Amino acid sequence: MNTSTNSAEIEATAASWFAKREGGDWNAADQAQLEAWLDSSTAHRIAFVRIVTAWERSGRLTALGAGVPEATIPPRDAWGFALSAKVPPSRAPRERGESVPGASPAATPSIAGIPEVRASSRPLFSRRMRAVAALLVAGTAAGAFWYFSTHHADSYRTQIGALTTVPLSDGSKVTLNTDSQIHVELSPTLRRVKLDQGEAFFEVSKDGARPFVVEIADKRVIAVGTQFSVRRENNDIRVLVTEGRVWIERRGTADKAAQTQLAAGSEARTSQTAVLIDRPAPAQVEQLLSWRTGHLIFRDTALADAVADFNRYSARKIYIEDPAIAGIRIGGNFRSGDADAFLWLLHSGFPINVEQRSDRIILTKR
Amino acid sequence: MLTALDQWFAAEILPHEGVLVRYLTRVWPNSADVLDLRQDIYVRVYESARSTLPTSPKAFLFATARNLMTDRIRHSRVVFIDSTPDYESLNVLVDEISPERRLSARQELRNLARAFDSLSEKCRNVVWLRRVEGLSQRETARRLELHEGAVESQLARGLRVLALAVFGSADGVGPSHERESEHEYKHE
Repeated sequence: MNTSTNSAEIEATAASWFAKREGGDWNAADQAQLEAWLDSSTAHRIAFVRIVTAWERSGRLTALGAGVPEATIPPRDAWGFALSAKVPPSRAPRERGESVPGASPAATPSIAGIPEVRASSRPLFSRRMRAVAALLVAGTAAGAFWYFSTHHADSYRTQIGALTTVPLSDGSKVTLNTDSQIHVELSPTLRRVKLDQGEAFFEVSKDGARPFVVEIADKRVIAVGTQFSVRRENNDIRVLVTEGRVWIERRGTADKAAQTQLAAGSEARTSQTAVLIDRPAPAQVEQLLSWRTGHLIFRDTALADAVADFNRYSARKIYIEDPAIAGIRIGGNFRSGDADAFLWLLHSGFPINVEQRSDRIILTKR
Repeated sequence: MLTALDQWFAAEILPHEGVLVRYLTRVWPNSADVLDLRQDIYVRVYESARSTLPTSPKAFLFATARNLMTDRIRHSRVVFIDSTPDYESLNVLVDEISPERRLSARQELRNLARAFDSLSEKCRNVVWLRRVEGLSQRETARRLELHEGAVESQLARGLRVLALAVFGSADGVGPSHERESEHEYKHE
């Protein structure tokens, strides 16, 4: 079996063989050489099958040619349905001039039989999705999640190990991590969320007239339309902004200088007297937000820290009884609710003994 | 040219590539390994299908993925993921992590068109003339005033990008070089 050879190289070779075969100067010697290459490794054969299939399936592209005059190559994004807004800038304007004779927006073809997808249909769709999500949330209320609905104020709470996403009526979304609680009040002038405990990720829909304020003890995180997470530890917070910007202030200080502005990609940690701002690397951001998909990601993490993370998700806590193992470095992706997998791997991969008791789990050196 | 087994593989395994790649990206600590993992998983599936075709190709694909990752872990000191040993819960897990997207004909065309538009100008022109207008390589070369060799290599390059769109892994990992296009066609 061929595992020593780089898969990207094999794929490139397979594509080259295919293009050569389609080229026109194909002869028996070429055929024999190709067959030898295919037979020399299953990986070669699969890469070739993949390219042949891609070529066949890409025949669908001929639909784009309907109504286009022969010898005309339409410009990018001329397909009558919205592709991504980002189209790479033309890299070779000279070539473009030569090879796209007479292409102009007026000559842009539209595709028969393909309904246009308009951006304006999106909000309707997502509003409907939110309604569905709200129903689903209500349906699971008997589980890990209580839902008290009053006219303008709602409380949401997750049990240990639970994770839930709450759509708010203004179009924002809140994802609640394990053992967390929020209280939401929406009024015409203000959107106010109290984070009583735990951790939450906010996707705030833009509304310049109604600031979105998250309150934690005497601190406030203020946003207009942005994405950020807030984790509460006693009266201090960690705020991570992934999109847009937020302001952090202490309640009762109208003084602008007491506000801290936090831009996308930054993390702030408050302590009694100070705010520490950091710009974590992208991998670290992913790690910090992996809880939203129910995962814990560790990269060269001390066992003690990994255990502390797992303990947030389970009532049956893990204790490290031997300092000698607390500093062992581990890495990997885990389901936050699946401490058993984590323990099993600790036991099988490291000199660690796992003792399961009814109310707790003890780790010792083996 | 394709054998019956090749055709089985193209019809039953390749359509799951997008889900597989997203799954691997999610659970494997190093995303740089994903293409190699994908290749090795495909090889195992193909070779075992030589003797017996699995009755549930998708479940078999993901069970193979899991076994292969477990083997790799035994040979390294990497600790990883959720261990959910039985096939049934594995499938639940996979669908939950990355719900399968059955693409309609229109969506598939959109993905292809997006990938097509993401190609460099030269490559895009070659793919259009070869695939849409159905010109020969020689005729394409003449029309674009390129060497035939250039047409051939541009077609090979374009096909690799289109393959990612066809198999739904365009938003996963692709070849690390020549990935000028990776940002342009994300799933919505």
